[in-house]
Amino acid sequence: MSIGSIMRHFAGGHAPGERARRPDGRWWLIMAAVAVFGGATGAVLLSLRARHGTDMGGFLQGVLLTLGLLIVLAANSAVTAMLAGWLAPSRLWSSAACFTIIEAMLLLLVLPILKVIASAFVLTDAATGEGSFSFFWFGRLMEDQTLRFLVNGIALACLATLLSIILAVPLAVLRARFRFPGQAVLGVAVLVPLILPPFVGALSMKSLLGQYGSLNILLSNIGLFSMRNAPDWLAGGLGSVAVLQALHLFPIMYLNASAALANIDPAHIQAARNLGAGPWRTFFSVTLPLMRPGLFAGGTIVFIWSFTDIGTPLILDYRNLLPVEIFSRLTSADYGGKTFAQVVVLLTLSVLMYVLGKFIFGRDSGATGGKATIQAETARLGVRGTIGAWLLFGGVLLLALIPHIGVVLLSTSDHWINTILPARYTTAHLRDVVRSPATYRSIINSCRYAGASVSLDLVVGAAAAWLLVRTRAAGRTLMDTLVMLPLAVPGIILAAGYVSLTAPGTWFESIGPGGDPFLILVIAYSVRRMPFVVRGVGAGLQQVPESLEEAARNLGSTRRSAALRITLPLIAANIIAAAVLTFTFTMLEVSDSLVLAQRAADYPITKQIYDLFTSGTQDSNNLAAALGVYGMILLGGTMGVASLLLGKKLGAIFRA
Amino acid sequence: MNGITVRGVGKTYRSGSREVEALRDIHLDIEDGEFFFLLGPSGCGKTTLLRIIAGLLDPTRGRIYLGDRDVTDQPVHKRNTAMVFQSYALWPHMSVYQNVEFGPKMRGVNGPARRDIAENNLERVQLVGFGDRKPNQLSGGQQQRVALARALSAGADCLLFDEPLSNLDARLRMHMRAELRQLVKDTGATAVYVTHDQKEALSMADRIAVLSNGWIVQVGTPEDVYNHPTTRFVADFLGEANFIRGEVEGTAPLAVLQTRAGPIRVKPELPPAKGTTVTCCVRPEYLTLHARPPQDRQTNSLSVRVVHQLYLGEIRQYVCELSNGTRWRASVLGEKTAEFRDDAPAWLCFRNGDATLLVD
Repeated sequence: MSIGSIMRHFAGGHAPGERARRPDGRWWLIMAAVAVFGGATGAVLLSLRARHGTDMGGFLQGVLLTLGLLIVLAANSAVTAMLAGWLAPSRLWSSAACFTIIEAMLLLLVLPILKVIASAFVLTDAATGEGSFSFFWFGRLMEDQTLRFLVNGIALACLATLLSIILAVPLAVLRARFRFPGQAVLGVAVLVPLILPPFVGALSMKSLLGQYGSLNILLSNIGLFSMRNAPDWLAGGLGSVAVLQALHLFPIMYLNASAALANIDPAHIQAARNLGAGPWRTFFSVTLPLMRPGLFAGGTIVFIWSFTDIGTPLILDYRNLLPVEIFSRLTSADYGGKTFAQVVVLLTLSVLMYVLGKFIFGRDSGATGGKATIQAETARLGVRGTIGAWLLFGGVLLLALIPHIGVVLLSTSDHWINTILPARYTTAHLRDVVRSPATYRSIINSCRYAGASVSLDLVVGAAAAWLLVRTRAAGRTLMDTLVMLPLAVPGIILAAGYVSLTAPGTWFESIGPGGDPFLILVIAYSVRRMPFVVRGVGAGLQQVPESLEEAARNLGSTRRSAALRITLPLIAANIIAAAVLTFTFTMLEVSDSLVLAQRAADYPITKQIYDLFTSGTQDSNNLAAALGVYGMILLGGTMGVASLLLGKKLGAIFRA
Repeated sequence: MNGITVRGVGKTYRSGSREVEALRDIHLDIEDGEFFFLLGPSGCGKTTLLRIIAGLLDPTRGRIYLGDRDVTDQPVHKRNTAMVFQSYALWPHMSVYQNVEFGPKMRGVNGPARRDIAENNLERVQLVGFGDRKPNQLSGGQQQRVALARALSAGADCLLFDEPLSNLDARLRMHMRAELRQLVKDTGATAVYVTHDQKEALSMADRIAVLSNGWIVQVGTPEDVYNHPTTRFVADFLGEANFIRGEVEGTAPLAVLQTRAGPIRVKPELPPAKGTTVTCCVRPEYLTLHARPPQDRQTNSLSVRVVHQLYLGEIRQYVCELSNGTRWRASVLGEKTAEFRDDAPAWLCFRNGDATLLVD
């Protein structure tokens, strides 16, 4: 052994000749991959077995799926072995892990989407029953309202994004640049609007703002108008939907704007002030442009969220939107070519917007992230300023929390007809929810689904984040695109894909909506929330300088032990926060829950609320609201934990 | 008349119940067109004072005057100062032109005139043709020049520099000193420059104020503060210095100091009182090393032992131990081979006029 190779050995590198002599590394790798996927699958299987006892249908499907995954892994190891010929040993492991994730995403994300897209291009001949490739269904779209719905959707998303920016940016600036009493409380309270369970908000909005709602009763009591010609505040159509969405989603913009502000070197702002620009001029010519990448990162999320949202439009009964149209077709079991052609159009547009937001508008203009060289000077607000700040925060929060307040009122009201506030209060609904088997089961179901999918997300998402930030694995750009793609894929489309994959008559019928949807729901949830975990953990990794790990390795620690002892504790907050948020949003998930859970026994919370909501009796509304209250408490708690753990970094999770 | 006057300025930071005095009662009169330096170690308050002059910080007490205007209550953008930041603070979303034209734009100068000003100043910093680039497409040295051009373009009455050269590599920094001084003197503006680098201050300043712990310790020309430091802190902070304490025995015509290493005769600026204890300070470059003591009435000779030596290229520095155990450093210019070996006995000599007496 030459001195050079000894040196390389100590430095952790490999001499060129060593590559051929380390074939066993691959086997370790394959075993590790099998362990990860086997473990995840095993957990799923165990849970299935516990649930079904002797019913082996779902179990068999699980075995089938595991076999499928093993085939994937076999292919994976083959590819890896092939790559070993030209990849350096240091990149072999990471590249193979990267391929594994790519394959999993192809299987669980791209395949369902392709399946959906495929049926849109097939025209079945009625006479022969043979399908042929055709654009027939797209032609049909031109004939009806699809185009109009699409334009509506874009207008809606633009409006909602703009509104949420207008709401969020002043609050973020107020929070970042000034000091006033109660600042910390308000900063956390701003996140509360994000945790509204869907549908129940609608119920409460109707009781508060509907034609015979509290506001109108209050106004007619004052004598502004009589109840007979009272306006319905919710009948504004598109505008109302946009306002509601903005009030619901502006915290995402707020988080991103806060993070962007924190990243601006205060010297940039001081330089502008020093050269004669007043506070407003400085804000518009320096601060705002420097915030742009952050605003676009959040804006892209809000835009796509709004564009593909079905919850809020359903609340306001505004149906002239493509996602809502697709939703009604799918729930009425219309799996025709036209439905899927609509899906293709919606998907293409949202992916396009994602790409535009991420790669064109949101591109970092260079040194914006530059480290702060000077401590930011925060101005203390006087009494008047403090009152103003509280009014601004309070006003926005009051508006944004109307649904929440309504939900709480509704869940505790015993009698609430034609009065401003409920005439009598009761805790019966809150108790009934826990006692009633149907609602109780839905809570348990949701926890099971969310728990399993968060575990899966953490394993895969953390691995993906690590591969992205810390390695030069081959194919990591593709992996990044694939794991982030769910942000751009409307939930309803992915749900349609899973429906199509598990449709009656296919292989996976028994894990579909008609069978036991546990597996497919967990997969759907995991795939949908994967971006949060990848971005959350990735942001943590980026903030831990690699030199910390290198120092540990230099002092004799192995790569793995350095990662476990140095990096892991430093990013623990990010991991926990990502897990907590993923759990939260999984519990709130609408599209997959509504489409994939079709038997009452499998209902998650959101579907149960929807079920109660649509059943229409007065009592069921109260029960739905009570269920919503439990959801809010759960989500509020987790959100608070995440916010405490991450502080300003929370914004990193909601980025494109 | 665009001098800067600082009257009784203090700055107190409150962190919880603790109060930190960043500046205590600063008085300064900076002349019109003067290149004035604030020099001191980190944490001495020099940057705080600069930022108070710019209006980026409010003083806890005291007044600031730019020319005849009392600007203490004026917001930063109305003060008409132009600052070069340590980090340059070039706006990354604007081109070099947009950066440099920002100041004139804020003063309402129209487009073509703005471009003329920008071109003019980019030419002065030798960056013609770089106007359309973005700051992150420039090297560190070029960014520094753009920051300079941006400040010059503002047409401000006074220029403020916050350690502008500290991010450059040593060679470029040396080169920029002379150039920066020339550029600033050409504009005729009053300039205040903050640095912790004594070489920078000595080579560029008209006058220097040395700060320590929120106080101004000494104000004077570079020659003045270097050769006649009034305190041990100033002597030590500006270059190297050797010290020895002694009791004043005689005062006329020369002050005679009785030290533990022997008597020292000094020609002081102000004769100290007999019987007091003072510190005698001698710079290493004024010391010479001899095998035998020279018979010269104007020269002090101390018997020493050479401890070790450092070869620094242009000079050779001997570390010598005085008879009382104090170690002094003597710098000898251009000594190719060592004339004294380690442990050798020698005589350390300096002329009466080359020592300073510090009162402490």
